[in-house]
Amino acid sequence: MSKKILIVEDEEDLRDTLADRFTKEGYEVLQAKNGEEGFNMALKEKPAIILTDILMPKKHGIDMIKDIRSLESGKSIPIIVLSNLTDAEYTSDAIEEGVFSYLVKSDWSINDVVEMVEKRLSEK
Amino acid sequence: MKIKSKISVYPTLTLLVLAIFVAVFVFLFTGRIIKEDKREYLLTVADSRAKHVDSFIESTKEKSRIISQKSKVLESLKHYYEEPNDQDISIISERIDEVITSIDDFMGGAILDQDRNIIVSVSDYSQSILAVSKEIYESGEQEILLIRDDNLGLPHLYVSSPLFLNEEYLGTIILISSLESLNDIVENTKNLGNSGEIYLINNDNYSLTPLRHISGSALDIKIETESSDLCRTHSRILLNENNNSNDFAESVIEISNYAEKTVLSTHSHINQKNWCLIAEVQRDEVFAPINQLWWIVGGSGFIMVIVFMIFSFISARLITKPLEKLKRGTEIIEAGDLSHIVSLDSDDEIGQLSKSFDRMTKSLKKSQQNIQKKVNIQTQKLLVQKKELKKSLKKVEEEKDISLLVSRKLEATLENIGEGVLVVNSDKVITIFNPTAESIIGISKSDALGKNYSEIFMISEESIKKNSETIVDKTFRTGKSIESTGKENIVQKNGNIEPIDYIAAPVKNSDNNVTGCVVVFRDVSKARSVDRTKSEFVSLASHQLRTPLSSIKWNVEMLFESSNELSKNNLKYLKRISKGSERMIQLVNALLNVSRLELGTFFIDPKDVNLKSIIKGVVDETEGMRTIKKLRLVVKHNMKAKKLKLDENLTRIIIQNLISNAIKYTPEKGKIMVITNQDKRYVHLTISDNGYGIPVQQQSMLFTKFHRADNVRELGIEGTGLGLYIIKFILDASGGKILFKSEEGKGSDFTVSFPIRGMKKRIGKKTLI
Repeated sequence: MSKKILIVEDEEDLRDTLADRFTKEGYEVLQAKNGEEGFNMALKEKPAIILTDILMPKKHGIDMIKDIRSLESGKSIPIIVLSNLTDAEYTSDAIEEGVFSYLVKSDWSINDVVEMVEKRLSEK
Repeated sequence: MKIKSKISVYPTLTLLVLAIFVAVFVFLFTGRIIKEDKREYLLTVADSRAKHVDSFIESTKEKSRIISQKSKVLESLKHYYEEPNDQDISIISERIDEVITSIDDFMGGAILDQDRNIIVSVSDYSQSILAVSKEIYESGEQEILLIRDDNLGLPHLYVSSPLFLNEEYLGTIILISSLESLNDIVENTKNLGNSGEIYLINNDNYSLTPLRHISGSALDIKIETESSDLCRTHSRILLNENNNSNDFAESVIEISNYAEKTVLSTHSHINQKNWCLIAEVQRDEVFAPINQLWWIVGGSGFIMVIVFMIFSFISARLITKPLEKLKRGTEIIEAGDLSHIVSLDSDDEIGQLSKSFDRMTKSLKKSQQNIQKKVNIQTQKLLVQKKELKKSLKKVEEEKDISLLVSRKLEATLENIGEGVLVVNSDKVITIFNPTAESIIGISKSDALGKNYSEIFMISEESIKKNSETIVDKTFRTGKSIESTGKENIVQKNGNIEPIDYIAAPVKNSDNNVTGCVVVFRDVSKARSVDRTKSEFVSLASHQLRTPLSSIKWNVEMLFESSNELSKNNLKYLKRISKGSERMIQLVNALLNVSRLELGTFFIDPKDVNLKSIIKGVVDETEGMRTIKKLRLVVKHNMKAKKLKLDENLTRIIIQNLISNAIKYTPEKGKIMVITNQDKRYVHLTISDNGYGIPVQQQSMLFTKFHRADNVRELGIEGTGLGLYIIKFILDASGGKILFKSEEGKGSDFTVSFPIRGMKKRIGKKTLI
């Protein structure tokens, strides 16, 4: 059974790259281009793991996480933040919301991201 | 009057008076003697001449009488009368001629008969004799006459004597004589000087002899003077009274003579002929010796006076010169030159005076020197004191100026500073409140002054922990400056809340006790919004840059996974893209770090960490890179501490940078050493390599932003030139330090020292990557 992964990313190129990569790894990839879409999709599709950006139009990544965490069903979903922001307030906010990992995109290779996702899922 | 004048003038004057007195006395006395002498002499002369003339007449008469008494002549004459013949005549002529020839003065003669007929004539004077015979025959006696003869033209003396033989009158013999002898008598003016004159006058007052000073022969000039008158009177008296007394001593008189000259004159009467002999001498000549004497006495007196004056002047000078010298000496000494010595080389009283004066000067000088010495010392002291006083006065002035300047500056600063300033005293009552403080808090200065600071300076409770003490209280308690954390807001008078930053600093007295507190604060609402804008811009920029970089990175990665589908060249190109994107990512990260460091937005959050494990993590991460270059890396820990309070992220960045530099700048098969050490204050981490090293001339630039050493740039080794700059920045901010030593071609040692007490905490928003 393929695992559902929700990728919330406003940058189409990055979103597509991640989608391609995870599809290749055998994941069922769900894509959302902002926080609002991501929240709705998470609510509807109930992904096994969520990979989200922070700075996005319509709904901020952190707000989306807060919203998801406010749902009963969303409390246990592992969420990995994949951002280019290193601002302490965001990282601390994210960690407060039970985000397992806060990855800086450019510092991580895509394989590392995949490994991290798989690690998180296996820990579940 | 000066002594010199006194000495020279007074005696001179005395002498002058004396000389005049003597001169006058001598003149009068001598004059009198001379005058008397001359008078006497004149009388004697007149008398003797008169007697001479008398005897001359007598002798002439005698001579004629001798002839008249010659018996031969008388007998011959008688004989002739009786019987005229030539023989008798010749006998008579011979006899007369005999007589005449024997007597000088007789020139000739004749014998006349009683009828005045010439019987015999000797020489050719018959006519003249005949002419006077009448006068002679009238007297009938022996006669002598001085008569001018018209035939001869000159007066001659005629002497007659009657010829008697036995009382029978035979005739008269008349002889004619020259006047030479008589003239000789009268003309002898010996001892009568140049002007003296003797003249003989007949009873008609005609001169019988030529005059000495008037040309003309005898009987030409009539002399009528007082003397001639007096002589006539004299003769009359003698004749009438038959008085033989010749007492006419006073007959020398001073009269005006025939030549209208003043003369001394006297006379003598010749009784036989009633002639007068007058002797006179000119008064001037008589008085000439007196005048001469006067000149001699006056002149010698004058010369004497002059000589005396000169002598007295010289002697006065001799006396006054040393006195002058002494006087000058006193003047010099009076003027203040005590070194002056008069030194008169003399043993007299003045010399002794000068010596004692010099001694006095010497002792005066000595005492003056002593005084001077004391004065000098005192003056020196005074000068030093003055100098010091001046100095301290100047210092005081300067300090006054400085303090005035400082207080003005401070005032101006306080008035114009962009920060709010309030100062509280030991009672925490506000004493200073500047305009910026007024505008930040919204309370006027007059309202704020005198109030407790806590009523005015209120920090909103939301921005601080509950019940925590205020920074002013904390400053008073700790005595240290306390800064706000950057999160505080102030409550304005109207209730609004504005963000501020502030710092409270203690005011300490000399005993180091806190006596007040200065609070400087500023409205950071703008700064905070600018800060936010900046950080958002940087975030945005980094996001914007990193997003495409991530896209490139990931897609390149995915291409590598299907590399078997790529041609060899395409794979090469892909590697280049990968490398470029990696460099780009590193550069962006480094730039972000630098901007965060420089903006001061980074935080330092020290926590207990294990340095060894951080090192291990970094060493492990770099294994791939080292393997490629076949580098050997040795880690050696000498440190004792297990945990250190370090910011893990920043520590990692430091170690990562240093190890990756060592790897980059060490050629293949090189060796890298990572060694830890520890002393009392620091844990030292040394990373050494035996790589390219840093050229000496560039070592000073090592920590400069974007600086890269020439040698490694020439080798084409990539780098941003930011790594060491960031490391230094972090260490400076956290209380650590970094040192290095390097030799080009031999390698470099970098030693990072972390304080054992831990890194300094720093509040900020950003971490470094």
